[in-house]
Amino acid sequence: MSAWNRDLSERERELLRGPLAVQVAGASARLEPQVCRGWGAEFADGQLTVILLDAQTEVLRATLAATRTIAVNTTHPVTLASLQWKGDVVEIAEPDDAARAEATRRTEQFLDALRAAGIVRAPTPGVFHPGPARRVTLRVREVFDQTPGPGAGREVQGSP
Amino acid sequence: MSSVTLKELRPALEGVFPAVIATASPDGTPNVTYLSKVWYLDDRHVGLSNQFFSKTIANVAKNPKIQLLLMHPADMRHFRVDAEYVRSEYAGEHFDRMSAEIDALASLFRMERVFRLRAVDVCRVLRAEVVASSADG
Repeated sequence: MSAWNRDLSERERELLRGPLAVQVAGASARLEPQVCRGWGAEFADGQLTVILLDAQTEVLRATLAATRTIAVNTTHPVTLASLQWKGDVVEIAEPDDAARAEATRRTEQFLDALRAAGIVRAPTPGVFHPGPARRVTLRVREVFDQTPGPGAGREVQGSP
Repeated sequence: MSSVTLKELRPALEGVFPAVIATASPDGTPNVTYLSKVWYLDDRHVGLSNQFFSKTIANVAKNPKIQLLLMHPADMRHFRVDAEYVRSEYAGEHFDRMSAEIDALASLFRMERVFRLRAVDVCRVLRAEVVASSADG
């Protein structure tokens, strides 16, 4: 399947910039689906990069390293505007301070949005506190609009 | 990871936070999306609100394995649930009760025309666990 690559629309850019709930999924060789929360999402040159916390993702990272097949859901936590990105893992980086700092920033952004909407209560210390974190990059093959509604699941067109 | 029973994670099924469902197609391509509600049916089964699923249902028809990610409404602890799709119910007691709940939820989000229950997907729970929090000191 060919790569998906084009300039994002303003709506798509706004979704990735704003408060974001990120879910990262893989499937084991025995076709067991696995999903973990991720943080942040940046798209450039046909590649999407997200951040995984080491503490919560050991099994998934091993699966992604073995199968290279990944799906990432990016959803605004209040409006529920949502895109799913599917593709092939091109890199699982080593943990670094920049990934950790970005995960911290995106966590606060996410929680601020929930607080402003009156949804959030105090999380258990440590639940969202990011320890070591690393970037995972995928080459995008397909994108789907998963915003709730009749159009949910519609494929978003990329390059021809 | 520490195992929990379905009863122990029932607060995470209150619907405060939407649940996440991951499935896999026969060629190993994962799919991940949100669902409005997961209902406790009994100690071994949950019901999933099927409103917008298309790829999810296509996947479980060929590979019934699913994984759910749930969040506790009070402290935001995460729970991971491995389960198997059993059947879809389009009518009956479960469907009627859950459809009424979804209608109420839709009203809350002002999405009455958008949120509509198509089916209750019944799944058998294989294991449930608390997701570890940060190991960082």
